[in-house]
Amino acid sequence: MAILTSKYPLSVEERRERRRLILSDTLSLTTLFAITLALAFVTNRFYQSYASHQAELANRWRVRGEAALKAGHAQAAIVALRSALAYAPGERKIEIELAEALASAGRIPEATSYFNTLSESEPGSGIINLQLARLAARQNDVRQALEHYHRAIYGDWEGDGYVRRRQVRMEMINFLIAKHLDDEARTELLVAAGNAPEQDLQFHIEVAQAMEQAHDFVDALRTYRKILQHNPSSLAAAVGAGRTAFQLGRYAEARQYLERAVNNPSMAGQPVEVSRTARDLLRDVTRLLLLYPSPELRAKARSARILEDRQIALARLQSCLARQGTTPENSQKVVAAAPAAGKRESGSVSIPRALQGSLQSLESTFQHHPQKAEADNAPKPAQGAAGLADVLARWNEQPEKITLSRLESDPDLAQSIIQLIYDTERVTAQVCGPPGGDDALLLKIAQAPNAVEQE
Amino acid sequence: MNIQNGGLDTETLEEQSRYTPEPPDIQKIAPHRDERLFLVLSIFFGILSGLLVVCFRVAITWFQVLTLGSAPHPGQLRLLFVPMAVGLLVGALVQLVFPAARGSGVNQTKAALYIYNGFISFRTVVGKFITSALAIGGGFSLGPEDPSLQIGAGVASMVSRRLRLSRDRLRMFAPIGAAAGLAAAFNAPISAILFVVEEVIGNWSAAVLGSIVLSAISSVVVARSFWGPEPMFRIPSVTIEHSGELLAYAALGVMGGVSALIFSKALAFLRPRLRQLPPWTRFCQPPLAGLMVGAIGFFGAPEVMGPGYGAIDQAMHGFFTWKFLLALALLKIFATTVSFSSGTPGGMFAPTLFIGAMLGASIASFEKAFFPQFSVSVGSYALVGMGVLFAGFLRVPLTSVFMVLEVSGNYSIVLPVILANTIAYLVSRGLQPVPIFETFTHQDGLDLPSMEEQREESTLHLEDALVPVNVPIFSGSDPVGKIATEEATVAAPVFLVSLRDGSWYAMTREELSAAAATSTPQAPLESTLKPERVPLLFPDLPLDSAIPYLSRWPVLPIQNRASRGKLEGVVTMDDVIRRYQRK
Repeated sequence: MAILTSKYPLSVEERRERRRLILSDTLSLTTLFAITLALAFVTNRFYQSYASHQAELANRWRVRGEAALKAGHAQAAIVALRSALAYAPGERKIEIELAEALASAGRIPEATSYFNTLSESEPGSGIINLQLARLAARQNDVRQALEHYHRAIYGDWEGDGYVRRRQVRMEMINFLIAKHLDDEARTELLVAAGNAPEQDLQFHIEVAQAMEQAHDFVDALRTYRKILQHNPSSLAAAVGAGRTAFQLGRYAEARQYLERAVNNPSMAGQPVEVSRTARDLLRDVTRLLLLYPSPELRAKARSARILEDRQIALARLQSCLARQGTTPENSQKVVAAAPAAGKRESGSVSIPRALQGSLQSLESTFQHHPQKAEADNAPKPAQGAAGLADVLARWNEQPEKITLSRLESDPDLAQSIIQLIYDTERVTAQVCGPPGGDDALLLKIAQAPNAVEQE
Repeated sequence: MNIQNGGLDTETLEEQSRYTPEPPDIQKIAPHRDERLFLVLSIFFGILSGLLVVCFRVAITWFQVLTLGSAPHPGQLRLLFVPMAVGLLVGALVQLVFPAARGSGVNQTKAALYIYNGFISFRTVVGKFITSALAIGGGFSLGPEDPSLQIGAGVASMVSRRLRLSRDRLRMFAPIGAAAGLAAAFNAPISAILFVVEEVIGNWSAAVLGSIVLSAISSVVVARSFWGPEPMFRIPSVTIEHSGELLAYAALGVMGGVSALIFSKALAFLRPRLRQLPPWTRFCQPPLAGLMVGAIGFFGAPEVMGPGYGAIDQAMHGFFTWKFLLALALLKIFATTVSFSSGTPGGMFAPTLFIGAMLGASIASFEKAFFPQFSVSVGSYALVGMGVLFAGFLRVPLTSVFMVLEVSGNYSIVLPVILANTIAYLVSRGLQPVPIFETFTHQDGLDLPSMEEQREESTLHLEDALVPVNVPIFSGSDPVGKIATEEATVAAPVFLVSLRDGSWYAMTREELSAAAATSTPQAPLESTLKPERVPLLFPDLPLDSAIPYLSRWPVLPIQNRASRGKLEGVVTMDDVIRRYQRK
């Protein structure tokens, strides 16, 4: 054994002693080796048992925590998830769930601090930034929320990152809409729509609906149209397109989509509320188109519609004047004049003279009792009253009696009456509040008459 | 059975007397045996310590789950009573079966090295393992690192005794085993090596350093094969964007230094008072301490119980508010003080780290709450806080820096760590001159060397005793007859001879007389000299390096390192002694 070599000559006794030492050392080292092996084996078994028990405990507490979180027992979830984390330190999923539990328990500062720390170790994590965005949103910190939403969108995601990023973007869009940041929401919606594959119709419907909420009806309608090109039988797209076209004042187009929706066989399977809304909308748009004095109509039919609309507008005006407190007798005369006009010979309507009295009465009302007028209709601007007076004056300037044949032969008169009808609806809506029934439909036409039949 | 001095003296001495040292002829029949076994055994100690420490840590966790449940939280009655019951059991075991298991383990290892020739009994190792595992697992506010250190040292001591190694080797095995035990407990070999060098050995000895490194590395390899290669704590990279941020770390250093002082004072106050109580009270002290710690857990802070690594991790992840973190730091100081002072076996490392982490995280959380414009990382502050307390309380500045770097595996934090640790160390040292381990040593009636003093002791060099050449100088080519008759040599008892090869010879008057008597007068002086030459000594060498030669040479020339043969001065035994006496 080299380690026992001696440079000095040894006696017999010393050589025997050396041999004994060699034997003893060999035996000791072998024993030590055996002890080490045995200890390694025991330690390994001990550790394996410990590790499996740790994993079992971690799993048990994680399951309990998740169940508590789902059940809305945030405090219990915190205790359970903390315990799970103690047995599985650094387990990212549990850490995130724990932070979620903290947030659910209303411990926002702790949850934010916890997520911030998680974010420090993983700044590009999508899920952590999403949670931070939600926390900031809960605290109405729009800037922070948007910053974290953007980081989440461009962050790392496990599994299907594309879908998760899209979901986050939609969540951010909904947040923007809720905060009335429509311009920002529209920008994000265009990005979302641009990124989505064309065959993902469901997502495009979601985007289009969000566009509607962000008051981006043009893009919403365009998106619905695109969906219908790919899937003409899409009920949601048809309803959405009808609704959006209606919002844009494109009533002919709206009717087309809504008819398609109502006649769609799958409408039967929809909730009552959905089908009722669609039918109501279709009914309104149909009626609206019946009221619309389209230039495309033959002269007679158009004139008949103008006369009908005129009656509706006058009735609305009289009603509004009555509400404004003009003299009872004048108001009575005006009110009486309109239905009476309708009951006269077909195709002939007279201008009620009583409107002149109403005008005077209205003027004196605003001169002598301005405060009363303001008190009755506080939000109405002063020019509303002036507009009402102006409309009244213009009605009084109209010929007393208008027949169908006269309207057919006098396009200028027809046009001026149409304009007066629209102005009446607009002014009365301004002064007396939003109208209902046919007046509401006429008002819609009045807002964009040229778009009614646009497709 | 004497349990004074932390169970260090009587029992150890009794057991030590049973150990027969090696027969003296081993050095003759196998002169290199010890040296070669030393390295092989270092690796074995590392592996054995690593395995034992893994078992120790696992045993603690098992016992913790068994007694305190898998999810201790406030309001559980068991938190109140389990530590008390465990304290009763541990108190009885320490008093009746394992008296040497008392204490943390660091001073006991030092005592083994300096007093008992590296002797640590098997009973002590077993006792330390069992009682520490019970106490820490039962909720006492103590840590497993110091006991691991002693277990490692004990294993090394047992094996080296079995192999009948020389006394010198036997003594050196205690720190080697200690490094292995600590390295496995911390999963940090460099910190363990540095701690043993800073706190146990006290100096960098090349002879033992290699073995310490081997054993520490071996034990960490074993430990990592179980725990995995991950660092103990994970924190993100720290970027100091503005140098002003270092001010916050400096503030943490000051707070850490003050906290270390409070912690040290509390221990220095309570421990001797409890030890002065009648012996029978030592059965009651651990259960009472357990009850107090249990009450803290029961009424709201179970994080304080046990080593608290889980809570440290949570603090690093910003789980707690700054007020709660501060409360946890203070409660931990209290809980550890009563746990340790009661004589319950267990270490101080983990509580120190806990307190530091809570302080650091508290400052970071406070900053985040009130100064959101600062980019504060709670994890970094907690980590630096751990190092700060380590430096301030345990007074091991170098270890504290490397410990932080190793347990986090993050070297980007080095600048704040060095700054904060240095401040904490200076503050603590300025306010509490005696380190805590030394205080314990004095309380135990022992007189172990102070490593802090040793580290800072200034070494004397030859230049400190050097005097100008005050003896005659001759050339080796000068004839003997001429020199013997010169007036200068007649009076001088000794003179220097410069030789052709640049070496020097210190010749006495008697030697010259003898040379003159036996040689022709024309013979060159060099031919009459004995073959040996004065050693080559330089001014920067330690002063004691001259002592072995002064018995042979009455005067030693000190030469210039740059020009061979040029003298800087001379030293004599009187000069050396005078210099030492002046110190």
